[in-house]
Amino acid sequence: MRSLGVNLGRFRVALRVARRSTVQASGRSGLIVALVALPVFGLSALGTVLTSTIPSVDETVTAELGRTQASFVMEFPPDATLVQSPNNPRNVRFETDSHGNPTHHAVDDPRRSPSDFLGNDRVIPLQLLSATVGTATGKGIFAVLEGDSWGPAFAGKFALVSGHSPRSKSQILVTPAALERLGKHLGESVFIEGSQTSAFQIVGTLRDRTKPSNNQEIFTPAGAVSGSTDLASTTFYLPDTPVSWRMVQDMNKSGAVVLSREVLLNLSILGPTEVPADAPTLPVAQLGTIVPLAGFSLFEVMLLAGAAFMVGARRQQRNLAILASVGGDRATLFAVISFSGVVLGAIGGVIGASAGVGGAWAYMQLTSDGNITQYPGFHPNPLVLLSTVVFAIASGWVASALPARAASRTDVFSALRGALRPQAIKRRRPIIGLLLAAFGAVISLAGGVVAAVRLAGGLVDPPTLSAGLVLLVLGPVVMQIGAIMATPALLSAISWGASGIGLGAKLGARDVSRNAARTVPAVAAIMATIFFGSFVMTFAASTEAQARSRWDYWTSPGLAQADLRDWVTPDSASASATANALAVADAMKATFDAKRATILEASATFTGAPGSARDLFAMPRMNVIAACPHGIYSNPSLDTQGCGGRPYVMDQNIWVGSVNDIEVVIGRSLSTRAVSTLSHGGAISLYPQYLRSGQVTIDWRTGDQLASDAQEGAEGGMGRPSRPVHSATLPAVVEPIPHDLHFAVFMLDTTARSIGLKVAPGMVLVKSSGKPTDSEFDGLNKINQSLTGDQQLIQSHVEVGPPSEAGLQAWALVALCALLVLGAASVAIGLARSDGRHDVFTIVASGGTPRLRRSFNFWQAYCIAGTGAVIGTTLGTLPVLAIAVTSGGQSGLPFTPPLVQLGITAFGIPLVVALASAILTGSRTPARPIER
Amino acid sequence: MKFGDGATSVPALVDIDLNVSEGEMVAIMGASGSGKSTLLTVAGGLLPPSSGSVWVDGKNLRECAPRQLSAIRRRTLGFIFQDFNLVPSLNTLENVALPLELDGVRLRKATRIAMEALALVELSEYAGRYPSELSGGQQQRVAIARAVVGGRSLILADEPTGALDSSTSEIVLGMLRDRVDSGASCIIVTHDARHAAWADRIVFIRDGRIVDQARSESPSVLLTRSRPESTP
Repeated sequence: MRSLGVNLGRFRVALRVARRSTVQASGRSGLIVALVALPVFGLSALGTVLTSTIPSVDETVTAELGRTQASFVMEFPPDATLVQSPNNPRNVRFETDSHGNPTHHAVDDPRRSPSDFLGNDRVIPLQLLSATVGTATGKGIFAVLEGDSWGPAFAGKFALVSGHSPRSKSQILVTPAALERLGKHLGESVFIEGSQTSAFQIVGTLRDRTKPSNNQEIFTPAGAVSGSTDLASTTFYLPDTPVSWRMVQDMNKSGAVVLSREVLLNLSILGPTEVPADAPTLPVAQLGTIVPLAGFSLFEVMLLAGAAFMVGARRQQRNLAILASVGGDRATLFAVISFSGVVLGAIGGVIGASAGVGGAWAYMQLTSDGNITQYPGFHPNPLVLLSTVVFAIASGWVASALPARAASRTDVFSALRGALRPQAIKRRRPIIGLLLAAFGAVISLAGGVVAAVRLAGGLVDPPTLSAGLVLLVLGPVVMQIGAIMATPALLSAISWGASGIGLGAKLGARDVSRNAARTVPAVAAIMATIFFGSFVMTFAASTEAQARSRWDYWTSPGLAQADLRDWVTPDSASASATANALAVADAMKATFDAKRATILEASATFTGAPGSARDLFAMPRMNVIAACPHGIYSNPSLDTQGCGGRPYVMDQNIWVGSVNDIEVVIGRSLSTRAVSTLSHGGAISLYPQYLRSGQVTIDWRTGDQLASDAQEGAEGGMGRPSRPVHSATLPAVVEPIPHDLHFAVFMLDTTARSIGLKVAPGMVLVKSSGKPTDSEFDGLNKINQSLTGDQQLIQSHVEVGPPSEAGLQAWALVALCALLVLGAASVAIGLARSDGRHDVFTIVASGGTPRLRRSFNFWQAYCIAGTGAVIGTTLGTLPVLAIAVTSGGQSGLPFTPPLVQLGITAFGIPLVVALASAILTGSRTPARPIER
Repeated sequence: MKFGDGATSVPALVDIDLNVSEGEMVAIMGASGSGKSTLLTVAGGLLPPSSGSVWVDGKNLRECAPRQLSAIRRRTLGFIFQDFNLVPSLNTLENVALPLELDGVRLRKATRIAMEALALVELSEYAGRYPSELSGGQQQRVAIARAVVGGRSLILADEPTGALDSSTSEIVLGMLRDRVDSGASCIIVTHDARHAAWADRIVFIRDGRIVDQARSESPSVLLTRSRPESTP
């Protein structure tokens, strides 16, 4: 059949042979389908999740308005120049002067009441406020929404879960999560502290569908808690009155910003507006991430599936030679293998895309927090899915193209005679490969520079982001291609090195190096798998280390603290101060179920409060050279208090307690030297910036002086501070700690008294396990309110430390890599065994024992898997190293590869593969292979 | 014709001058490694000669592009191998129709012609079977049908009876003879003088050179003449 001059008959034959070969080699085909389907699964799942985060217009209208016609907020005072975006009321514009101040209204002008411009239209106000409510374990601060949120006008936005709507001002609804925290049942009452404390009966549970299902909120009738309407915190809904764009513009002039159902539903016919509408498209930044990742996936599939196709092409070498002998040209032979790629790619694509849609649905079910703005609906996008299938077909074709090209150049003469000659290595290839790998490293570094510039400069523009990402992806790709080209030479070197280990090692390694045509694709496939795992492991560990280094520790992890310094001052009556501290300690112990509480005393903090002008405040003197080693702050003539930015200048209190107390704060035992210094009347500091010549100097200044110094910037290291009223010098040592804490100088109580330092209980600390619970928070609130009333003077904090999940992730990745490597290695080693049947038969015929065959198979597998694993692991760490090296400094990404996991990946996984290969070596003498 | 490069170069065929006429069957005989199969693959355009020329049906294969060589293999000459070389994933009919389909012949027409070829080798009823379901003799008859399908005029047979028993060999050679008698040309490589006797002419080859050739009326005489002198 000839169509438009193209001989389609040969493609028909090629497709037939490809299809039947694919079915015959079902194991290999299944592996290729899985390799293609895996990234397609990820891409289609990611695409579906992303498109499902974009709401349709109907979904937006329901989430925002329920069944009402419009909502508005009196956001501004009246302004004739105020205009808004049709679909985003937060996006507004009004006339301003050269300083950015509005020219037609003042910020504190009164806002208009809606009744002034709405006439008789029915309006439902919903006012949001917060109130303190008694909970099962203490007191909690809850969001309270006043107004008829349970009414039919808000169907779809709010949903009654249980009970019934309030029928009087004393009845309320709560969210299910709030009901749990309150420790109440329907029908029971709670006390809400608002304009006045009142009891309310809970008559049902209601969910705000635009908030997570764990949202804790209370819904009351209008004015039940606040007693009045605050325009700034109230959203007004129009249940009956449709609002046109013209009406929106008129309402803008009154200072209202509006979301209108009619406008949202007719956005497409609205035409251009002064403030444009937000476009409901995929975020460019996310696309900028997806496209390079898709490119990288394509490359990885090419390497992984390419090895399997190479196996297929080798197995079909004889068939292809037969085709050539009866007149098949190169295009036909190429088509046979590449059609396999297209067929398997299509199958993998359809399976992957379908599974991806299912996976996306499962992911959304698992990760949904019940908020309809998180996933407004399940929106699989046909275009996205079609793209992923096309991507899969392209992946299959690309993966098969190189093996197909090699197959189309098959030595027909030799193949027809059953020969499978090892492919000769071109001499220049290893050198070109090494150069290419080095070039890839340079590209990675360039990507790192771009990424670092973006991070340092806070640039978030998509082109910069994409450029850095593309380079960071392209670099490893080029490196891997270079490594693949250099692999034959590396295998030769390994073969040479293995010769001395024993006969099995010598034969196995030699087999690997002499059959580069089948081993290099296998090494490449293993390398690609391990590369990805190694990169993710290293990146996760490094970003976690970065998060750890940036974590602002208040105390050592696992401590709950109540800071009393705003409440108890050194001027407080000593007995009452101690009693207050003990009360807090008892409450803290009860709340956190702790056996012991630590009370640290602190010197007074200057807050600028009226009446403190003549008071004296003690502070440790800063050693400016140590504190500010660089730049303009390093002038030794300046005797400043610091140079800003670090914890040691955030909190300059002097802390007083026993050695045990100090050890609780820093979370470890003090050094012998520190204990000795403290007991001999000295001080310790956590930072060298407070020491000069082994001494700490304490300066006392008046409030007036400190206020004046602060005004002149002396505290920031910018000027000379005032002369202290008096000073005291103590011998001191630095106690090194693993991370910064908000404590400057410690000393014992006797030392403080000896230098006349006035202190008062400053902090209560108890041990806490893990993240604080709602009941613990409520307990802390209760302590605060019961002791300090509405002033809430006790500042509480629970130090949980930075997240630490990278280790677990790395182990999971090791397991995943091991599985994938076993799959890839089984293909490669299966081919090697198939190819090497003659050699094995010869070994056996020459007296080789089963043990020798096992040794042969072990070393053959170890050389293939080990080479791929070591190269992959090394290359996988390089992109992270590139970012780390180029970003540099304390704010950059540190390079902290998880060495144990990487070591197991590089050496342990190949060992498992090799042992499996050795164990699976049959002890029976193989039959003499017959070529057909 | 040479194999290898530079210092390792080994001459495989030297000063070969062989003409095969229409309706003539030529048997090539010689010891292992003498160059018989190489001669056949060069004649079929699967290996290009390092010097000299090969003419098939008025075309110099040495001057043909790979695509033209493929076309000649589809339309003019057919190979038969010792181990049959059928594509295992194609059934009997599809194997025979292969050259036609590759040449762009419509499927229905290719099938009809292939069925005619199968009828010639008396395997019409096996059209739907796969090679693994056929005996060695049947497979070789399929290979013959594929070699002659579509009126191809030159058959190159490399030890076509090497994997067959003697009675099956006689049947296969008889079929080849029939094709030649119908006007085709055939070059057959064989070790067996009895098989060579089916040919019109026997060519003896040693160390890549033609050492003797004669009509096949008395192959035993030729065998004696071509034997190396050192052999008793």
